[in-house]
Amino acid sequence: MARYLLKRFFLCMIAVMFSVFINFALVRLAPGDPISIMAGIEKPNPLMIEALTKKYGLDKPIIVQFGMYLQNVFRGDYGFSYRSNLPVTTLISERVGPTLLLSLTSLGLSILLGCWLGLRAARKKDTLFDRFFSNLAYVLDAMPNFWLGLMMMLLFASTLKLLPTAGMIDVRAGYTGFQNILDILKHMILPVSCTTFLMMPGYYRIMRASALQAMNEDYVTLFRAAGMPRKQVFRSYVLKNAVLPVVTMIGMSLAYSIMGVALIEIVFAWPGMGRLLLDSINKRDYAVLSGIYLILSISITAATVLLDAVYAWMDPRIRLS
Amino acid sequence: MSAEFAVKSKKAFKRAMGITPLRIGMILFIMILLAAILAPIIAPYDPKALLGGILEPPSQAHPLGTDNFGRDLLSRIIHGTRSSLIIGFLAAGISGVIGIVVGAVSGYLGGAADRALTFVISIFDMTPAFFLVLIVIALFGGSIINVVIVVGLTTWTANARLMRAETVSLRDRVFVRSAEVAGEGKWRILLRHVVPNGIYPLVVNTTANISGAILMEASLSFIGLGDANIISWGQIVLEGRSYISTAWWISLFSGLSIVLTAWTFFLIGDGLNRFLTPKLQQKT
Repeated sequence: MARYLLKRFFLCMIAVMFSVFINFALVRLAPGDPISIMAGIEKPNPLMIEALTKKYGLDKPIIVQFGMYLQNVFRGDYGFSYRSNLPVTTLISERVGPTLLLSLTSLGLSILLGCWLGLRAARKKDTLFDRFFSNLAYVLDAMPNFWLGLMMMLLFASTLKLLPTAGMIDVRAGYTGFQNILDILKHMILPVSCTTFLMMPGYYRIMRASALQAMNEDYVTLFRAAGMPRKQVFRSYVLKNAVLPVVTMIGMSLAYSIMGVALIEIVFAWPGMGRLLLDSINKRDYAVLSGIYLILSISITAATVLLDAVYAWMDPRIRLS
Repeated sequence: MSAEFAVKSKKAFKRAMGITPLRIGMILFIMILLAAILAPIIAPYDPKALLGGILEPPSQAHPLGTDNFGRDLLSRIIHGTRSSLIIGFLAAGISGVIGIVVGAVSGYLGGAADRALTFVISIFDMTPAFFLVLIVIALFGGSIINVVIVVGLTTWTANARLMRAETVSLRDRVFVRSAEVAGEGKWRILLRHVVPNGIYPLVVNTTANISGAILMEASLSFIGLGDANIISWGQIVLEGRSYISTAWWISLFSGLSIVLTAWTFFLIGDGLNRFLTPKLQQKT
């Protein structure tokens, strides 16, 4: 098991290096010179040019430049936003809380709901329930998440006036304590349900497929023939085997889910990283864009290692090898 | 020979049309394709013409209303079909070709080359593709060609994995082995025997990739990184966003066309999967 995890960790380190390299190469390949791209300004002043040249070794050979770049990243320096006059890490850390709140809530909900519905669909294969949710999963997959967000906003916020349109808190009300939490929860309903709807189909489908597969195994038939109650077979033998692919799915869909969260944040003006992303695009603040990309790559690979460990611990075939 | 072929293909067609998702998907696809080809003929107005009435709700003159510049929304949506289909097909095509090459070479050669290529695939899978696409478009500009290339370059890994698995299972089959013994070259064997026999799962995945590319382009356009020279559904949704509470029809109908088109290709993919693997239909 230790060997397996070490191998996965090594792979993840290479993946991070790859992201850093891509980031490094893109700035140099892009039209325009690296200094004005990194400064985010058409005509940076001489002092800024000097500082950037020194920091990234822009007057040195390209290999040395990459080494310096890598060094900066591993030191936790993801660049400086001259537009906001703040280090990129500060800008991002201010926004990371709301994003995590939104994405982790939706991730948890979509796993729970998707798996529960998937299991039920597998047990009731070919019934109306199964057909309805299997078709719904396709329709949800085909839906651009930002559009679903807009439509839910139109329906529940603008037309029915049940929920707040945008933001995370009601600034005018100035709630504190428990009321503040309630206010945030109210603002969360729409963005969280949007992201949940969009992540759910994946979990639904994988849970349904792997439960069906597990139910087709010979040992299940044997237990049933030997007279073990259906429920017990399902709980002790089908579920345990069927849940493993779901863990793999979480890791594989992380990168994709984050994109959905970013777009939903933009639609609902949620004060997270998606919003920061949009602002940086509009202001052509490349330093922030590249910082977000690097931090996301690192977080995703870190989460992948973590999930691999969970998987290895859950699967006796790996745990005991 | 040709008569036999005609009978066979007639039978296959009948079986294909018996699969509901495939039938519905193909009908929708033909309609969408016709809309794209005949856009200038069936669109009631010039999609770029400013007709005067700004933000007019759906009416007889404008079945889907007009936008904030007074352009006819129906005509814009019909013309938008073109860019969506072009982006979807080209990006999925690029991703398919890269997937075939990497997967087939990796699976057929085996050994160190296989390990190295599988390693590359795993690394690509771990990078957040959408954000990479976003950075490239932000730096290099969002022309339709850039979007197609970048989306194609970041979505090929699933294809490569599928092709590799197929190649590995075909590699030791008798007809491949006998071609080797007969002295055919490696590349010739790959191109003539391995790829044509192992391509079916890729066809299914590529169909789904068309939807993926269309959705990706829509997302990029929604962030404001789309090609300003084309009419794209994602851009229309973005334009409508500012008027969502007063002129809901702009975002609603343009978004619905994205959903319908993406759904069409998912249906075709699902149907093709059932058509190409009849065992699946009986078992699961």
